[in-house]
Amino acid sequence: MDKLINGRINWPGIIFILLIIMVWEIWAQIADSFYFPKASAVAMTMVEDWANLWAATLDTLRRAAIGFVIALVTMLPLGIVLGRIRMLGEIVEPVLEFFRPLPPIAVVPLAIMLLGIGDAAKLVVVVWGASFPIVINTIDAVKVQDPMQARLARSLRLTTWERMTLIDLPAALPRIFAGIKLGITVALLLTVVSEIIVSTNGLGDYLRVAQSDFSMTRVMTAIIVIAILSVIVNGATNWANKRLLDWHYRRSALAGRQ
Amino acid sequence: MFMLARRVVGLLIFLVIWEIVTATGIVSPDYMPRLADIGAAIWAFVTSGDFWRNFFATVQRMLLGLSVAIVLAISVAVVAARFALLRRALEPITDVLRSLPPPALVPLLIFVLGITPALFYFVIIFGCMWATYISASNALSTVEPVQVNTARIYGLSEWQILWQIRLPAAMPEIFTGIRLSASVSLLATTATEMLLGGDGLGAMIYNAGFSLLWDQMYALMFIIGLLGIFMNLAVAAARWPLAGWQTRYASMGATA
Repeated sequence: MDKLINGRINWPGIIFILLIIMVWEIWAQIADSFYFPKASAVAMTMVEDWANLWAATLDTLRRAAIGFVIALVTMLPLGIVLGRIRMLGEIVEPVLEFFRPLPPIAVVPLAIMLLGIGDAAKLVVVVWGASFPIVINTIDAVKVQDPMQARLARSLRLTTWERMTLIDLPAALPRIFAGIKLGITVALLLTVVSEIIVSTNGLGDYLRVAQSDFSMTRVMTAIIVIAILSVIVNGATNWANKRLLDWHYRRSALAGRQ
Repeated sequence: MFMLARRVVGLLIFLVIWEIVTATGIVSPDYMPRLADIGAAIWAFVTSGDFWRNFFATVQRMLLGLSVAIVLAISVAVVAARFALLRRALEPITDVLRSLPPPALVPLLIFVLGITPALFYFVIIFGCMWATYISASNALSTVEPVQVNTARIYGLSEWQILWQIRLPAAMPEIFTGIRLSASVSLLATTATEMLLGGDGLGAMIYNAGFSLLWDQMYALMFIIGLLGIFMNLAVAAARWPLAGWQTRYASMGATA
């Protein structure tokens, strides 16, 4: 019993999801309401409207990826500079802290007015949102230094370059990756939301069009495709994170066991 | 004091750059209004009753939705911490639901619930729940084994251990989740208001943007930003009595 609950494969979770789908289908069959699409109808739509859904998914993914990469290549170096040069960091950080609580959605009207309803407006929103977790985590990551390691580096007479690549970079990586992970999640989320508000193409647009067609089944299909896509992207990020930072997790597991 | 001065310097430099850019006309004043104009727009808002009605509509939705979400999330997490089967059963479904952007639910719910307060609260509560639930659930299930074993030796029941040992120990991590939930609450509220129109700051900023009222739009962005800062401060203030022991404990270790 205990093995079934806590084993590697999460059986209770899988059964629970299947149960939800079953209850949904039966309930929808009984209710037989326009507002309550059946699970089977949603599955049918996924198969029948495959081409459109796939095209929309690719549009959304492309936009999220471009936005995230722009945020990454600009904010990572900026974060390192701001974290390393203390004077500069202390001046710029309050400005960042001031802008961070502004929900990225509030930038949407501004972006549309300046850039129209094309890709550029949506990308600005995505870049804006994905930038903050990356830059703030990077600043924190390079700022904090283990005094032991710094002294060790001096004892070993490492050159600045050696110290940076051998000690500082590995020490900063886990925190930087935490920011990158958040950045990816935020990028995907904001892509969908900006597509809902400014719909031209992508999954958010698919959702909006289905809504204006009063097609409840396609609305539900879009929501489920968005959920599946996010789960896959987040899962892939977690997997990559675990692979790249394997040494870090093994070390902290060791430290916990002392 | 010196730290405070430096913080202000950064913001001042930003404002000066803004003023130089707009005053010299590098960017058309249509797109970037002068600071004085934005200030005037803020003042016009602050002195009008209509603005405050919208402002409090947003604040009410945000705070009420967030509080319900936090209570709900922690209650479910506590029950799930007691029964491993429930916790495992909820894992995959929470993974799916939390990765769904809350505004994506609006098109569906608009049919089911109509443009009602229920729609706002559903979206906001749905959006805010997961961050708190996941951190609470993680924290409640990974407590120092020594503490739990000690409590068992003293003959505490599983529920007592949950209330007296696990929950206080989990508080710092729960607050990390609450902080995330708080920022989601502002995002979900303004996004829903944007999509639905009607009242609230989200609807106001949407209308201002599409009416090309630039000074009002920047003024609203500033006000929503302030609201976000206020939320962070409020969460930090609530954290201190409930989870501040961790900070005090950590600083003790540093001096020892």
